[in-house]
Amino acid sequence: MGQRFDDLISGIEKAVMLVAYVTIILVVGLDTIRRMITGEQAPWGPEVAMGAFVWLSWFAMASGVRTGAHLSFTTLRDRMGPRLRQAMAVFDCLLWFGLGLVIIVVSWDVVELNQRFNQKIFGTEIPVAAISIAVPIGWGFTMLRVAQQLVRVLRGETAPHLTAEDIR
Amino acid sequence: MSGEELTLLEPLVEWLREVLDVWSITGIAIALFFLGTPVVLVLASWVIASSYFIVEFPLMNVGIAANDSIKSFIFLAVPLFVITGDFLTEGGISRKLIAFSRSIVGFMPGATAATAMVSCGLFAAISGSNAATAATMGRLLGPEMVERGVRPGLAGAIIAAGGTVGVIIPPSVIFLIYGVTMDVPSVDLFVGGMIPGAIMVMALIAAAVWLTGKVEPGIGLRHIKPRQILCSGAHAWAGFVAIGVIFLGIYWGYFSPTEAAGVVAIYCFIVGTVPFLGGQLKLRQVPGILLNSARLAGLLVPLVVFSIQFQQVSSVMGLPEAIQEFLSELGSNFGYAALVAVMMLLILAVGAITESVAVVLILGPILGPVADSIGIDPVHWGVVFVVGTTIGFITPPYGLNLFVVSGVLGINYDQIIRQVFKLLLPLMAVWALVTAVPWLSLVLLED
Repeated sequence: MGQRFDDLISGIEKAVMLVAYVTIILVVGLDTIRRMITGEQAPWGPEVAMGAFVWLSWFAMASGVRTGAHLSFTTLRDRMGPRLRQAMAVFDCLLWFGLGLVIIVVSWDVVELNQRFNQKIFGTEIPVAAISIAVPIGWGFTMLRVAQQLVRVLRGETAPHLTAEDIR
Repeated sequence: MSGEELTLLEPLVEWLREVLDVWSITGIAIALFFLGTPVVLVLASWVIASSYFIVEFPLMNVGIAANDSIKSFIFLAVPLFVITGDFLTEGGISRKLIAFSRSIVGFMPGATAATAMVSCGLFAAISGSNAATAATMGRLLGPEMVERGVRPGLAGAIIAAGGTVGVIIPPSVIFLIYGVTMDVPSVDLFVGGMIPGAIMVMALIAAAVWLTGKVEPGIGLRHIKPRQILCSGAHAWAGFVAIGVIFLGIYWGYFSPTEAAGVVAIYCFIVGTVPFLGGQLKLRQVPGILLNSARLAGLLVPLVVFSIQFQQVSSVMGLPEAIQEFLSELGSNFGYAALVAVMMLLILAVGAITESVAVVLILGPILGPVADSIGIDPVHWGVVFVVGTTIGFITPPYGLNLFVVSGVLGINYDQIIRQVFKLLLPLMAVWALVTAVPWLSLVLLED
């Protein structure tokens, strides 16, 4: 059950990140090449690419929680005893939950505001809310990852560590 | 949250407002940082706690910034330059650039280390990331350096130091972030970084030759083969075209940095995948490469979002003004040279304990106006600032490049730290030179 849930979440994260990344590359790169050749450029290009970046960023953050990729100063923590280290890891998870709750609530207000004013991305029929909703959804996924991490920590499993290959 | 829940929480909020002040929140944040809480959590906690309990900002600002701070077209260049670097390596272009570098400096004592430094410079001219530069060169040249007799710790230190040029030689992720944060044109910073970046490469080549020349003696100038240089240069054509597109496209104003990054990412994908053009990248590898590159966005973007809010909240509190006032007073009492030296020490000290993006985002807005007030050109100060933060990449205890190279080469972190101080000296000398001679950063900007 746990593994299937993890696979499902990972699959969704990967799909969102891939679609968003490819969108950024194609919209920015191809539209620039088109402008060089034809002198024309899509007015919606930058907005759509930046919207894809919003989706990419918050989902990549969620994925980073799973892999333990978020940067931290670990010199002291590595020297702590196992009990204290576990307590600190639990505290970090609770802090994630607290912040996540605040950010999901306040970013949802932004989505509602965008919807209420029926704002659209310039030059398209895409609602602006389709971009701003990436924040609460991305943080929602982050909360799922934090919950997984909390379970791991409470079971006494070693938290995943950032490897050199993870850093680009 | 419902109104009733808020009413229940009100006494708690009131109590917290009474007991918390900016110093206690900052103290808790600093303690959490040193206890190993992720930097993004520390920053976000400080922002939300200070917004709510101290300056009484509406928390909706956090929600708005979580969306709007990312929607910057120039910021979009970051993921594009990162994926360019990855396509470059996986497509086999990096190996060709290394072969070209070897043909140029292969006659020198310490040829492999010198080759690594030149390759770092070339790779950095296409990718924008120091960690990508260090990881790629570590993987491709680190084991060879050890085979040639260079001590593993020293080999790791040399590669880690070479990676720092990834940030100074344009395009550069850190220049982009500095430009977005400080409202300095990124193109000007790119151009300003060209000569200092070239000087850094030369200083590092000299250091590499000095440190490894004994274990790998030179074979003499007569072994330089112009034909071999031309052939390896021709083989690496794809890399040079990418460099040309970026440099000339941006410099002549055909592209913005983001557009150049988009075009070069597509170009590197095509030449990396088409076997006819020498590409070694398989299409099935592409999703994995994209996901790997995406991780950087997940690390950097939340930091940038909360750092921008950190600036806003701290500005309302008058924190930058207080520090600026202190520094300005220091300048009036001890002279501008002392002031600049203190600011450089601050950059170095903060860079030694934390990630460079955080240094830019936290210290940039505090030190920038001070530098401006004593007449330092914003582009010159931007270059000085970023060169300082790059030194932080190899300054213990928190040197990102040291960590990357340690992982890639499988060398103990402590072994690399013991050797890295030998590489810090030439970089410090270059930093001092770039600071003392504004001409180096500004000459290419003069019309």
